[in-house]
Amino acid sequence: MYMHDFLSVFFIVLIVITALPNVIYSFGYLEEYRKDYSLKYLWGMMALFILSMAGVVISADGVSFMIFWELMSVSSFFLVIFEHKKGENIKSGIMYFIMTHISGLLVMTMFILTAKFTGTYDFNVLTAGAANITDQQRLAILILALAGFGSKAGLVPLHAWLPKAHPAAPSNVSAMMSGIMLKIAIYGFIRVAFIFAKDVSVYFGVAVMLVGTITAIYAVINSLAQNDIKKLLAYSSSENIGMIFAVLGLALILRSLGLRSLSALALAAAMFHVLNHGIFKSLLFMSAGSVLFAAASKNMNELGGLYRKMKFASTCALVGTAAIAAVPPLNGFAGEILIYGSFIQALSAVRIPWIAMTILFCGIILALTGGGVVWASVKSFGMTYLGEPRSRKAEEVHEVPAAMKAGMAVLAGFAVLFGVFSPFIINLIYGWTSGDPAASAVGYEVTIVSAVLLLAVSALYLAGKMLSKKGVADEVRGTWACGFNDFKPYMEYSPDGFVQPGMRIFGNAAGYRKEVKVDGAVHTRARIKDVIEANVYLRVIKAVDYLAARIIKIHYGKIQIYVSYIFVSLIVSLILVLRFV
Amino acid sequence: MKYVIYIIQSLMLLLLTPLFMGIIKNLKASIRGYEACPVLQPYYNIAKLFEKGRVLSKSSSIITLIAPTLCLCACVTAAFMVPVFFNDGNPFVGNLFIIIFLLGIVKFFITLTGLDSASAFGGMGSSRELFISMIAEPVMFLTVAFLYMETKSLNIFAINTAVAGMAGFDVANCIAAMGFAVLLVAENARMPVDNPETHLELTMIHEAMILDTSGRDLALMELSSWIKLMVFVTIFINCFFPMGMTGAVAFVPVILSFIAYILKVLVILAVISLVECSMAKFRLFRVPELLSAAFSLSLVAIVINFF
Repeated sequence: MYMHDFLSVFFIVLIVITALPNVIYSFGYLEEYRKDYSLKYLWGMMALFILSMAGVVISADGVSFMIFWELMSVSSFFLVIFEHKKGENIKSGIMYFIMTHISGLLVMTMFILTAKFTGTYDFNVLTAGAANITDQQRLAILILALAGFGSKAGLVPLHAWLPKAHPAAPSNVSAMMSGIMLKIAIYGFIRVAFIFAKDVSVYFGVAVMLVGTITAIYAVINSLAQNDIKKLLAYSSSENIGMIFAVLGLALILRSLGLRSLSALALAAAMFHVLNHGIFKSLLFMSAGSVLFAAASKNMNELGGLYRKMKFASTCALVGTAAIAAVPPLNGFAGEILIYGSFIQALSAVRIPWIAMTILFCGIILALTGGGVVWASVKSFGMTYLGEPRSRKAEEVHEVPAAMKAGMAVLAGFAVLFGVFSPFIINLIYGWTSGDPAASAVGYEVTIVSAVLLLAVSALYLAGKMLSKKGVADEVRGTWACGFNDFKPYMEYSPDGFVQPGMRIFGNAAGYRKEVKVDGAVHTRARIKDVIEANVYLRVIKAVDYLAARIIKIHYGKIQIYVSYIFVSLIVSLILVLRFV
Repeated sequence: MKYVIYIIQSLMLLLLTPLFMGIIKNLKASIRGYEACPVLQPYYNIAKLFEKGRVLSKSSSIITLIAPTLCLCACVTAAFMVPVFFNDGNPFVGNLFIIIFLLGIVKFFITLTGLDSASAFGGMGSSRELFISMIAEPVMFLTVAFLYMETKSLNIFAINTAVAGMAGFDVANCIAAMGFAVLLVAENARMPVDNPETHLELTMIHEAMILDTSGRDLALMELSSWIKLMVFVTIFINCFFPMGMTGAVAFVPVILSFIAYILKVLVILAVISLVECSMAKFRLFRVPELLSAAFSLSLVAIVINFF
């Protein structure tokens, strides 16, 4: 038995179209690792990882879902620690391992509770509506689903593993984790909150929307502050997940208020953004991988000017960057206008003031997030590929192999296609979410505008060709260095300086501190930290340490004491089982 | 016939844009009391730049080569998506979000151009531009939300018809218009957010990013920023003050409507010149205060409409 409704098929399509280019890319990318690590191990784990993700999506009962889910977690853990000779990677990997198991535990509890309340693990029975559970029971299941799937997807405050695991993993693996694995968690959430739970309290919808919005704004500020490309992308993944959850929350609110068609529109917007994010984030992680491959650095302070050495890969990266910055007619743009559109339409349809104002607030924050995304993406592309090299590493760049280029080109093509022909895809998704296959959510305006844009570009290009025949040649000169004739790369704008105005206003959310040191010359540097990690996670770890130090006292080291422990706990559990089950 | 007028009105907008820029220069000159350049000077400037060769930076990449073309194309496309002086309800195009994101292409490529030539000026300009546009984004969202709540449509042609058909002229509309006016100033690098006249590093935003473009590229960049301003002005007029707009396919109403449009544009240009002559540019970190004022105005407008 397996699931083959639209939702599962949709996610299978997502897995196929992003995993295949990734595999092509890996043929080139992994050559770098051949001398130090075992490639067989990596390919085997990757195959297991992809298959287990597909398994999660098509499994038709809670038990097989959990088995594939755990396989997915474990195989991705082994992929994250692939470069095990670097100590830092093992630390990040263990952090990921713990977080992913917290998520697994919550999801497992959720399925067990579902089975206890409804008497079945079977998804088809649940879908058909074994709806004789009370509101409290449903709320318990939904909260567990939000926490469990949310921590796997990277919602604040359970996001802290993302910016650690993604940079540690090889880039093709981070592309797969960010592009697909996070989406599998969203699949789980949609399955539980939209299909199993037939009606959800409006408060839960508001909570989901708020959590998503807070994630989006928190992650975008942190992604702005990063100088490591892969960390920037990891936070940006968290930001996109936040945006998707905000729209899912909106859809839940609208559904519980009885606004079916708007709810279907919001759900379609979320699912379309899932697809888009899978495409462009895979592409961007692959370009980060090609930068790492070519220049052996992912720190923007050492990069710059890569465009001249690797033209094709940079062009693909430009497409990905433009897609995430919502530049028409690429797919990020098509998704974003749908999200903003559904927020605005919801705003004027909901007539309950406090809910409408919350929706407005979330819409405003998401708009601010959209502005931040443009900034972060321009930073990551401009600092890496444009200007002059900032270090020797960026000067001695070698071209990337053809397989990597092919993988990226396929995804760049998808980014364009899914943007230009977005109305067809959106209407397809909307046909399922609204329950009426013939319904259409958007007109074909995006396609028309893309055609006009293409027409304008080609007309102007031809006109330019004709005008430039007059024989005025281009001159190539060095950039004016403000009177210093000797241009130095450090005269360029630095990645830190580029986002400094934003950090001055929003920096508290990224723990931004500027340090100035004077010794002959003035040195300034910016420090950042993940505020939530520093304030919440470390305290939890301290508390666990403290408790462990207390509990260790019962380990006296005598066999008789341990036997008596076993005996006492047996009696206690017998009593519990007989009394309460 | 109707579609011919749609195309003609957008062409008129594009062709008249340099003239409007010349008018701003003239108005400013007469307010300040010095002799102005000819009104048609922007046309001559563009023609002159097209004649010239261009100087490219050693550090520059394909961005410098494609950005001017793409920016201009985005603006031209946007100009074809808005009603100017004739509106019969265009069913094909006109989604406000699509127009705004189309103009966002300019922002994306112009900021990349700033980073492309490895000059400190360009990076500074891009950084400031993105900072301001990030803060401006919520105002944009609120304005579109306001228009949707008022007219139940995201299509600018429908919004235009609906606002024109409103019986009275309500307070919310005026307040939202004030918010959008600030946004217009901020998005188009006019005073008091950016000074379009100087090349001083303390004040530059827009000029800093295009400092290293020249010749044909500069002409295209200048044209696209002018068209962007005029598209914003047209959106402003047609969403908030659509009086005199016609939907009739006949000679006289269209001409009257055209005259009404020109008059409204002249009033707005006069206000812009007056502001630019009477105010100093804001310090960069005071711009968020200005934008939050605009934000509050739009929020008030929405709240008035909601209750």
